[in-house]
Amino acid sequence: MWTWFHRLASPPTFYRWGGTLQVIFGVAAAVLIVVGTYGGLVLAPADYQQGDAFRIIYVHVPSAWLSLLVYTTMAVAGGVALIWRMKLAELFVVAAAPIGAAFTALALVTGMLWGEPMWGTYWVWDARLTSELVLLFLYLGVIALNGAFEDPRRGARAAAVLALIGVVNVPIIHYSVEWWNSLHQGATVTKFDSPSISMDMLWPLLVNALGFTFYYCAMQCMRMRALVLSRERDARWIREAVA
Amino acid sequence: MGIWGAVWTREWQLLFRQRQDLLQPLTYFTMVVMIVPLGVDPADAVLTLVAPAIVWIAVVLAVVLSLDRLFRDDARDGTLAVLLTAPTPLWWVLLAKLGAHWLGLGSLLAIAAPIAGAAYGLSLAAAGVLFVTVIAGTLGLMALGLVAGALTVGLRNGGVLVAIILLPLYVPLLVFGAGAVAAVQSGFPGAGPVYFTAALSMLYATLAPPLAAVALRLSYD
Amino acid sequence: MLQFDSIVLRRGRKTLLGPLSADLPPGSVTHLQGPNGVGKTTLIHALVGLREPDAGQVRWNGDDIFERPESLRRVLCYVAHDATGNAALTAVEALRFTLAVTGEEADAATDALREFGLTGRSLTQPLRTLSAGQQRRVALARLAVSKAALWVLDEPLNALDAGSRDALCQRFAQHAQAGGTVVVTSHQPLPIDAHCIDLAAA
Repeated sequence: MWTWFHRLASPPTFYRWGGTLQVIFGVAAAVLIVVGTYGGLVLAPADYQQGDAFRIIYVHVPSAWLSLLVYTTMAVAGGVALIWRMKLAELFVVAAAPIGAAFTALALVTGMLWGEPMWGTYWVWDARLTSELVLLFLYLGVIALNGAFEDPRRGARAAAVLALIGVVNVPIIHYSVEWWNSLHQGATVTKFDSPSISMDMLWPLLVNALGFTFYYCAMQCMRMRALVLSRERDARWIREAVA
Repeated sequence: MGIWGAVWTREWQLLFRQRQDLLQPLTYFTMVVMIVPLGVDPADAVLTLVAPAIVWIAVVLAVVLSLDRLFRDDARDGTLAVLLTAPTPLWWVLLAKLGAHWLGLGSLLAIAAPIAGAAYGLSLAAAGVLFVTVIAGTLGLMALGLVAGALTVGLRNGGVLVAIILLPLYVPLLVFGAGAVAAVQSGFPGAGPVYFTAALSMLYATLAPPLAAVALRLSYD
Repeated sequence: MLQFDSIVLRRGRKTLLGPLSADLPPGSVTHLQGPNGVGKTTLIHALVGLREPDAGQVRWNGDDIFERPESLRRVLCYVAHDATGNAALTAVEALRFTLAVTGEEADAATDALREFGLTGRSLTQPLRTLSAGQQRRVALARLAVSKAALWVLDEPLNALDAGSRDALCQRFAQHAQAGGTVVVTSHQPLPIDAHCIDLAAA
């Protein structure tokens, strides 16, 4: 049974079905994001307190969710890569890191853009934003470590170890930053997990979140296929596949 | 003598004979602590307020600088090759290394920290909590450093990379360690964050040796 | 028995060595020959489990050493080409550590060092005060005590004088006669019977 799985997870096989998958994911992502964005920008009613400024959550919240999702999947792939020594899992880790970093940066930037009309300042040291900032540095650490090795396989496995330590730390960091925030009585401003968000504001958020997830899947397929091409450059099957 | 005994003995022999490995981080700590008041208004109110953070950050920086000695010499003189091909469990060896490094440098930093805190105007209670959090927290800092050092052994510019990798991972220890002192300063009970610091250190010290062993094997050249 | 089966070793894009296969049975002394840079140390790293080959397998008694590293490590005595021990330790301390950590008899350290020609002050002074030849002999002194069946040594003859070289090679021959396996790299010829593998031709 494992041989079937290993054959499926071999680079040439992945290159083939990854190509199909990325198209499917890409189309799904495009549709969902268009629907969700339209719903969020046009259909959803303006917020009682914040007016139209709150609409940035339709980008901010899905990005934040994705930043955590990508890190978790990256760490799981890292574990698989180390335990079962799967080349494809190693490529998953290397491919996911910049995508996750981009989502984190997007969450931070949109958080800052939201901050300006809300609290009059671009940056507040509240628990959520600070956690996201630390997460961004975790991603940068993984990217930097991977890039520091000449041998790409060793770099990928080192990045996998780091991703594993990081994933254990992400909830700890989250909790510690919240505690720090409460200790120093900072403003807990980013409160969309408050139950008062109404359904007609919520559904575009969920649609966008799903759309972003499909976008991640599409991007991941693309990046992994590119990495496969670059790593297996000298292999025979490449010429047949690319021709 | 057992494996633990052999590694332990060797680590202490090296610490005593290469005393600069302990004295240099300690000196760096002292200099950071000394330099900060020159950059701010040295009024008591300001310094006492930032004391927990500054002292703790100085501890973190000193620990990051000290991590080089964990693997650098062993990689160069063939000891690492012996350890990696020996039938002994590598994580056990690394735990001994971590323990010696912690007791050697961690205890020195834990003694220096309240003294620095006193220079910043911390109360006796707060300085006491500072001692406890530093001795507890340095174990966790060094455990994470053990893994980061193992991942970067043999890399050309490992030092800066280690700092980039470690600083986000150090956030919880910093928050709880400095936060405990800050809490006591403001009159709140500090037991909670002290326990958290110790708990985190124990978690990291448990996970680090096996992870560092994996990292060492995959990054050895 | 140590075997390597169609192993390929790459450095970056380039194939350094391979595909290479050989059986190294008990009682053999194998000399891996080749000029500097051909990949002797890389091959040694693959044989002792420090580096996984890019293709092929290294086997000890039939087991892939990367699947079951313990079976090899228990019988291995590996001396790297840059093995000197920490410069701040004395010869006795360094050897005691190496012996203890590889599961050998640590108390036999002093006698082993004497067998390798280190006496008196050279035993109790920091390694940095010893000559290159003396440091090499400290690193090699493990062989006098080791119960390991497989000896793998990378450039052991470097920095040794002619007398020490001959004594060491005699030791290799004796170990092989007693049923052990010896794998040695060197760019010089060995003065004993050995099965030569020329890596430059691979």
